[in-house]
Amino acid sequence: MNDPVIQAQRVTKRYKAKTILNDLFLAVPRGSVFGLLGKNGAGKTTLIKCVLGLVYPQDGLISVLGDNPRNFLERTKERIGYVPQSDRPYPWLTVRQLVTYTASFYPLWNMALVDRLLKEWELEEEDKVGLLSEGQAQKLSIILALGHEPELLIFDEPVASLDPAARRKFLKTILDIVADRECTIFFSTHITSDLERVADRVALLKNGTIDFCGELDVLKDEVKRLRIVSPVPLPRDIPVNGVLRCELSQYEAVLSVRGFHAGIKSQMEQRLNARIEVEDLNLEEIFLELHA
Amino acid sequence: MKTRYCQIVLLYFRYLPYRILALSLLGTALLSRFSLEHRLVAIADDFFTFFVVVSVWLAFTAGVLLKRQMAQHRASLLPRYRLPHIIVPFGFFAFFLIVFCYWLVSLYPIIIVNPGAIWSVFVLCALVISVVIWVGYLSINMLVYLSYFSMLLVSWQAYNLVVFLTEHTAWQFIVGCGSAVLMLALARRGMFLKEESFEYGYIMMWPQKEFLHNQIKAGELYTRSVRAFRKRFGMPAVVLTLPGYPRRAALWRRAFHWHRIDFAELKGIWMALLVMTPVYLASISRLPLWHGFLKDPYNNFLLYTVAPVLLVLCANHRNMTTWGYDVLKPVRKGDFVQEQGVALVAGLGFYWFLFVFYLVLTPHLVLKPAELALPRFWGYLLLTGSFALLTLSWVIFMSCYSSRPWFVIIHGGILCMLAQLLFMVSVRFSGMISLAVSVACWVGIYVFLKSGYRKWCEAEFN
Repeated sequence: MNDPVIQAQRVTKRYKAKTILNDLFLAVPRGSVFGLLGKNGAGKTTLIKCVLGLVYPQDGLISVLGDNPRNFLERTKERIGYVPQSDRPYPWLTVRQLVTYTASFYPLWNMALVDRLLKEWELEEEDKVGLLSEGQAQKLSIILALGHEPELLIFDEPVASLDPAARRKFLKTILDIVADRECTIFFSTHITSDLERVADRVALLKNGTIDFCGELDVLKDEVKRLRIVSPVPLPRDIPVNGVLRCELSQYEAVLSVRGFHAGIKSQMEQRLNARIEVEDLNLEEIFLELHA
Repeated sequence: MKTRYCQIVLLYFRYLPYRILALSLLGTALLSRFSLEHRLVAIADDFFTFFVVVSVWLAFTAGVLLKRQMAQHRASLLPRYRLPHIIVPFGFFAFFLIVFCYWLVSLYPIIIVNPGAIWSVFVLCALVISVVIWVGYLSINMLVYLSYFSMLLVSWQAYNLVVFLTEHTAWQFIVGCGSAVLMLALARRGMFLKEESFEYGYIMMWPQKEFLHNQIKAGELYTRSVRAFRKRFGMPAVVLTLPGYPRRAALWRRAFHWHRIDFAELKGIWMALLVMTPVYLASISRLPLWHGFLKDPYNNFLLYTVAPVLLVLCANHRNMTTWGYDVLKPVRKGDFVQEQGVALVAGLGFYWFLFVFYLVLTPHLVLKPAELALPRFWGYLLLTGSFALLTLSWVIFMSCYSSRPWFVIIHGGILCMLAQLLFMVSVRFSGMISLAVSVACWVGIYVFLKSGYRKWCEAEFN
């Protein structure tokens, strides 16, 4: 039961000559809220689509809930919920009709939950899907993905079109789901503050590979900003490994370091004969530093 | 009503165009029967054409819906999704086939043809349309063009085809089997359609954003091919340049620019015409099937008048949807409206010429060269062009009043009656009468264009 819910090994995906995912490894543990971060065009959506079997990688193996995405069993599909970036399937249906239509494909459907969420998220049942705003359509898409209470929820930029209030409600719903039952949530987003709020694990996608994958706290412990103040001029090359960014003046320096540990500070203080302050970074700052 | 089959059936019937077309088809069958019982034989006979058009349109709509159901993530991720979505439209098809048989039985005293032959024709029509939609990589203007020049002509000739198939039973078998194989291939393709399948992205349907996206993608197919062709043969790339403001002097050039942007892929039509004309000429001189249709230019008034208007509106739809934004550009609104109007009128001239060239002039060069010397012939062509422009002018004028239904209905009714009247009587016009009616049309064109221009200058864009 401790097998990862999603496991990707040596996944490579190319669109014509352009390599989007390059020999990528990823493991999403069961019961985690897993955030996928990356710049625009980094391949987040492509990775999600590969995981769901919507597109096929040229190389590598992917396993989702122990099944192969190329040919999911019906039983596996019942255990997966997916919210794409944009979804407006049948504009002529009303919200209620689309809910009933979607429900008809699942043996189990929690209509009480759906009704409650429709009410909480202020969606009118008789509104036509085609007339919903982007944000409302996004909310509906999320509700439809939750109706069958899946074991694995995959969201591709779920809050991109939501207002702050709706984002809060969405995050609260995610936390409620995780608290109520064992559910794995895998989602990509640009809004790092949201991710920080709910995710216990993150993966950073950069240049087609996973640059970091692990617990959010580990990442925060690993990437730090060092402020160095020295009474003597500082050398041009400050002797420390894993420098992401360095702003250097004669007596002061600001360094972002990856792979930080407590020993680094004391070693540098001794070598440089300087005062060093260590600053914690939030996820957005870490993201910027890693992509500097 | 919770089973997925019920929900899929409802999905079709909740879509208004499908509902109307399906009911029209059933209504046609019932009315033909009713009119026969009341000895209104001529009316019952007319239902044949109507039946063909509605069937083809219904197949087109069903194809679009089926494509939409399959070309989305639900097809891969919802359990037990694909098979029911394939079975339901096939069930509809079977149902309409039964309705058709009922219709055929009711018409049997009038059209004495082999039921298998008509069945084959209808299945073929439905399949061709479905295939076009399924493949769907053509943009809408190219598709409409092809539909008019192929499918509409086929449906126009459906009766002759039926007669042909009645007399050649072996062809019935071939058409029937071919249709069945094609249908099964389509179903199989639908079962495995994935996001990376080449036809996945092309859906001809609203909402507008998706529709435009697909259209742009479809348009790129042509642009890419031309670019590759030019590169292959070392030809320099064409750069579209726009003359700057003030625009007054550059009106025609800018209108032509809209034309080039909006239906650049139609340039392919000219190449197709160059290549296909010899084949076309050979076929009309050898295949007696077309003679009835092409020998008499006077019996297709609507084809030369209404069809180009529909085409020009379809061809400009992409451009028209952005007028609201384009009007914000640094240009006087009057100049902008004028520019768009010129582009529409030029487009109409283009389509009208294509119809006349391909369906009237070219066949008469082969079949009845003497006709080309008759004033009546040229008068008739002038009349069709004038009436087409009158119709477009009316559409331009009326489109300002789209929020007042009664106004549109009254004017639309008058225009339809006028078109119907001319359709019936123009065949008897001499050259002079055609000329006189054309002059009257031009008066109407002037009035509508002038009023339309004024109204569009005052219009608010959403």
